[in-house]
Amino acid sequence: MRRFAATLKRDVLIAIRSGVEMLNPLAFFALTGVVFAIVFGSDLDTRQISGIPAVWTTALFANMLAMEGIFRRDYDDGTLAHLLLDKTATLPAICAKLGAHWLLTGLPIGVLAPIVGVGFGLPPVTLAMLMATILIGTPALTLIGAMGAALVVGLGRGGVLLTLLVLPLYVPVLLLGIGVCHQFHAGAVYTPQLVGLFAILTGTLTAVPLALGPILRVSQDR
Amino acid sequence: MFHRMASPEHFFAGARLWVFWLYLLGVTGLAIGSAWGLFFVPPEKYQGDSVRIMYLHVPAAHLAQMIYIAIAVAGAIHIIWRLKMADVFMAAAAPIGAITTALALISGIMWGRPTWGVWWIWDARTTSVLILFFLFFGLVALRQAIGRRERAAFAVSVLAIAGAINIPIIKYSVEWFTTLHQPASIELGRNIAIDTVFLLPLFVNLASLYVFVAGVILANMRVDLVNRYQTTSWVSEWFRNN
Repeated sequence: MRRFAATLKRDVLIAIRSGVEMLNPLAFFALTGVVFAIVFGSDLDTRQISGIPAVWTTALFANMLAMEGIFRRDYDDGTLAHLLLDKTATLPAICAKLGAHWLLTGLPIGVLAPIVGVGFGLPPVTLAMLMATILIGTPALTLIGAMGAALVVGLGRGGVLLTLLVLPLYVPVLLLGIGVCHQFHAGAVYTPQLVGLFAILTGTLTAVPLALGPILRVSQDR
Repeated sequence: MFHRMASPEHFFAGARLWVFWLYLLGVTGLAIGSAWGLFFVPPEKYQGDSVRIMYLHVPAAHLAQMIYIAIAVAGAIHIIWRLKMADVFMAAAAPIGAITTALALISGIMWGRPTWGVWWIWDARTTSVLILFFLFFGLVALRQAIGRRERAAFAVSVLAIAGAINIPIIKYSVEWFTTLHQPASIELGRNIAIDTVFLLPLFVNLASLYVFVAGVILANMRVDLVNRYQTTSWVSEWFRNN
């Protein structure tokens, strides 16, 4: 637990002190969202219907762009090697890194989502649902993306490759998240999709932190 | 037998005749099955002649999933027992899987137009098979991006196992969701919803594609083995003798 708290604090502090870099995914999210809001035209129905997937997809891309950096700094300066040396410390440290990463990207993206969604003329209740689903979905995205990032860490040109690896695995989360919002917006039953979204979250939350240790360890023998 | 085939040297030598016979049997079977399906089966009552696309579409779609399952199992075998041949199999089978999936998708697109009225719809079945294609592609790309073989093997195994979640999604996508794609007509322990006239060439093609793909993967594995073990004495000896 001490290790968890220490790593969490360290990662958050590094992000805050590195300044604007932390805001890059958020700026990307807001900007891309605005571009979609501009190009979708003035018909309110179309804007509302296409606004939900637009916000969700840009949130997903913002998250994915941020994923690449989750282990890179630690890999480059050797911190990762230290975290992996002590096998009892690996799991709490990895959980802390995942938590910190979500606090710094997923959470602010979720909070920002209703603001971006306003640009599409969505009603407040739908905006609240949009925020809720993004807040449920982004931890799952972070977990899946972390697995991809761990596979390509230290490879140099990891960015495009990471997209290729994780995007297919992201699709179910995206479809379920959009599904919940659409059903909710139309006043229909949305529980099945919501349950699916939670199922993916709990599944990845259980499996991924355990798998990350061995995956990262392989990246160490260079 | 098993432990002998797990050694690269014995596998390389032993697979040679297998490749020949699998190719011969597979190509002959595909020729017979396709000719049968194209020229001797009567047109179907509702779909007319377009039903013949089935003889390519169904075997390709089935094989694509089977190849992925085999790769995921090989990934697990590689992680648990560190069998060398498991990784050789994964490397050889991934591109074949991508091609097979592409075949299933393309034939599906061609079948969709005359029967559904659209080339493509974004339903659960088509989307999950498209994702399968990108998973195969990712397996190939990841292996190429990682220089060191052991690390590449491990990374590909992890990705293959993680992506295996897609297989049950493909399987049940036509039962869980309402969609244009029909549910499976052939299932073990259930009445088959296709007339025998249409069924026989389908089974010939399905079995032959299994055989043919097995041959292609074996041949691919042999090439990969020469690449991997080019510095060992058994490879240079083999080249001297042939």
